[in-house]
Amino acid sequence: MNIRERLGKEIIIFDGAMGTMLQARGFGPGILPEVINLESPGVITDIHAAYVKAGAMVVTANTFGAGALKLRPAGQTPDKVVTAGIECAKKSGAQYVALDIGPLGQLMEPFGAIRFEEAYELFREQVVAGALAGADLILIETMSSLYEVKAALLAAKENSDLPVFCTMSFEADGRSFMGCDGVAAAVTLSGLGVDALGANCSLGPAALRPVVDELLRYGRVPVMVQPNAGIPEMRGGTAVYITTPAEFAVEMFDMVRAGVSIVGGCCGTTPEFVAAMKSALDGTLPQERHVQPYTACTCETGTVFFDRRTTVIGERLNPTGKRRLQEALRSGDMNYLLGEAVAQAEAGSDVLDLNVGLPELDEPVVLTRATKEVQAICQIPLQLDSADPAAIEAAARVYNGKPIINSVNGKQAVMDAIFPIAKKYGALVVCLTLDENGIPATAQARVEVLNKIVAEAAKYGIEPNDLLVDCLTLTASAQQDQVAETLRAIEIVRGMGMHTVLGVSNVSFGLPQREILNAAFLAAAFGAGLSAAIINPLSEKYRETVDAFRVITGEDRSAARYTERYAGQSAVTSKAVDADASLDDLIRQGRRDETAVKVRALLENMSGLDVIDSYIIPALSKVGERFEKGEIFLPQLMQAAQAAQSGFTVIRDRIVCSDQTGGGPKGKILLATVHGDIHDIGKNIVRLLLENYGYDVVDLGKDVPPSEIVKAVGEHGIRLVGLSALMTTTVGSMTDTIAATRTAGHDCSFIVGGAVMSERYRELVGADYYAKDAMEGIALAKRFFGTP
Amino acid sequence: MRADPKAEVLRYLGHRGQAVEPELLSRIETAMAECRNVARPRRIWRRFTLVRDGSGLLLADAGLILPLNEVGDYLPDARELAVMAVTLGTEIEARIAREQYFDIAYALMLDAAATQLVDEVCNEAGEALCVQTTAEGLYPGSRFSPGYGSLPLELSADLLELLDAQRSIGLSCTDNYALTPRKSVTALIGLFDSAAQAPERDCSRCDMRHNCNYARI
Repeated sequence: MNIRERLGKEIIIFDGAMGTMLQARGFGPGILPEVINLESPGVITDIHAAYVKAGAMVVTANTFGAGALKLRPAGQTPDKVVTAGIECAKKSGAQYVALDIGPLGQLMEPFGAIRFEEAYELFREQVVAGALAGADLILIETMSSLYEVKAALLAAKENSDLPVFCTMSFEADGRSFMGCDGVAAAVTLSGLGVDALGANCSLGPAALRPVVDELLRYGRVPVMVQPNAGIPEMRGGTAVYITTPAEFAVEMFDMVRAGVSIVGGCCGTTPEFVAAMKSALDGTLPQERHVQPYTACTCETGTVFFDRRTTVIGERLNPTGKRRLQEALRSGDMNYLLGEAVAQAEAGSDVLDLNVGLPELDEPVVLTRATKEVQAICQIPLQLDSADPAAIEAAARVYNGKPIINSVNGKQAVMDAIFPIAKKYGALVVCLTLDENGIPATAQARVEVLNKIVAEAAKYGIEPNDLLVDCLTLTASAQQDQVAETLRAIEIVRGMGMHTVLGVSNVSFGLPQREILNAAFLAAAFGAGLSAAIINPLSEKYRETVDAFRVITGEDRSAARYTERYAGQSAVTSKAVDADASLDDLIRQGRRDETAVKVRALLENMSGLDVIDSYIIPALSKVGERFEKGEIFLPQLMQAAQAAQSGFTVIRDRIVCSDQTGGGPKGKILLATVHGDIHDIGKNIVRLLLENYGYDVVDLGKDVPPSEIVKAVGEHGIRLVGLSALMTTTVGSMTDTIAATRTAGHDCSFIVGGAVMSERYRELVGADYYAKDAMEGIALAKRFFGTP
Repeated sequence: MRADPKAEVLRYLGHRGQAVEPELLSRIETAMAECRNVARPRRIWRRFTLVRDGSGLLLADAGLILPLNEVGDYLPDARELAVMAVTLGTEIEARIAREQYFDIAYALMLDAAATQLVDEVCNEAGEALCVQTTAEGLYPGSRFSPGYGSLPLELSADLLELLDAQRSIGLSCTDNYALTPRKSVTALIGLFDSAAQAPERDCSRCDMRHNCNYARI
């Protein structure tokens, strides 16, 4: 019988530790355990057999570290080692053999150098070999990264029909090493279609219990637990586990009573532990579980529940009507988008909508990249927004967590395209209440469209809990009678137990002082039962409405946050600019906000170019000189640079609005941290300064392969490239990059910099210039382009 | 003597005696406090008996040999070797990455605060080790790390392996031996029969001394 059919119907007992048993047989830390599958298969089979004899229904093949990255130093490959491991396990006479898949051995992006797509490929090798060798199920375990679990899980499901169980490791503070807690893990993995989810390793059963309770509360599938035999005590340099099999079994029995239905052991456990569990659980059936319905989205480090909080979805990552963002996206520059993302997160967004739809862009590619880059810096969930199902699918695939998809509607073709993606990646879906006949005029008719959508979603196994309903805002100036229909529709939908989402700004189209109307409409929508508002979180008016509403609903207990924000209100609003301070002083002192205000005032009477030439550049130059002389140090330089930048932004926004082209950039420079190097703060400092001095910067980011640099040099007609490396081991990537660019026939020069660089290394890698710090980089750029 | 944490952070920020406005100083203090709040420091060490083996030192039970020309300066006559790793985790790294798109000056301060904190966590681990070993009559020498002096960066990968560091503290390295999470350290500490045998840390022997923000010369 396929083990899937037994899940939740009986208690399933896995085995205990392999490593502990190998150590007891004299295999020390210098030996890669998986290689023993090939060298001493009998030993492995004997250990499995001991677990079978103790009562394990499933044995876990000795393939935990049988991925290419971990096997490489031993000169082995996954197919051989996995095949041998499954064979050893099968010979033990176990009812079921699990292909064991542990972490890759390196961190994935954004913290490490392994890309999601590479991780998938590495896991795929193991899955294919394991399925071919006859594994009965796949166990993905001891994972610290939700992202890595997702890559492994997709590899398992797309390359085999085997049941997949996933367990993650959580520390005593309830979070994995990567910051994932039991809630985000359970919500995300349930959506991704695992057959069972759970926790293993790191702690003993008692210490794991709080996380297990979270998993039970939010996991929509059977829950599995494989704890260590307690926390080891170090005795003479070796780890000794002190929990006894009997103590272990008591704790496990308790967990089964709470709803866990798959049990086993991790580090320190032995056949005695399995036997003790087996006898403690004899005759016990799984508890019936009642997982409360919830509507939630996640990222690795957090979960947003729509039934617990008035939710703010930031709307600004969308090029429609935003010239700066359009320009940035067209030139392949993600920095502007990322700046907007962080600004919205800092302003209190719970979720960010992400849309990069421009006709001339390859949207699947750009949305994928934007999803990864925004997730790298913003620890809040995203709402993936596109009219192109291919872009939605590409982004949902690389998204870390349970995303929101924006959107589906009642049109059959759209539902046919979007629902399979939502199901596969476990996303929440925004449902617009319109269909082939347009937006229905009445609330009731919109609900009818919704009913059609709900019924269609059910065909894919998507529950109403995973749908967010958008009742659509119409324009008061054109269809005034329809505005209240939206509110009525929200009330009805909320009454159906579903959650709603709404963009409000349409309501004021064509009317003056739009924020007044928008804020009132937002308040009315909240009153009607709206769960999530798609708004500009930087707008003071919206924030006030949201903050006030959270007091009214009681989410903001004792109005603590409200008081914190508004008690000092008078002081905040009267943050007048020191009238006597010159722009020069403001920049020198790094006063960002005041610099912007001052520049705005100057623009009343002079052109942007004059402000730049007469005020900002001289101020910056003075600061730069003082830095070079050692009179100020780096934080002071950077504060001044940021103040100057806020002035430039005011001017640039003005120029974009008035459709002038401005002075034009002084030259275009490409920046990158080289392949293999993941440090980028230094490069980012250089970028800001170059932009301050009027250069157009194409920033390719960190860990950039030579081929991408060569490509960008050609596409942008680059003549000067700045390369950064922090480590001696990545200096070689500079050599490769420079050689590749020159081989490709591009006539461009290279500046190199970074912690390890020196004049000697410059010569070694074949670069033209070495900059010891950011200001020297500016000086070199000026000389190169012959600019003042 | 232990350096003042704030003085260390200032040093990492490139401060060389310039006047610092009170506002800036207070932001640096905020960054230090936030860093302590966000970071999840973890540490691990293991002790190995050293056996002289031709031109190298063998770590008993581990099958790893350290060439004398790489470690001879630090470990002459050491009886045992403590292999140590510490990390601040990914949270502080994500925090610094985000701040770079909001306020890069503050991001720099957080970064320097994290560098100071990881050093402090190493010191604490070293002290805990010292308490343990001096009770046994073994005296720890200075801490030294792959990538400095004659110790090759590549050694980090072996040390992480010995500590099962990915599983024990969530620390690994890239193919280029960059530690991930970034705010992490791997280190060796020799354990000697007498305090007099234990050599002091000495930047003057390091290849990087002229180019190093952290050098104590």
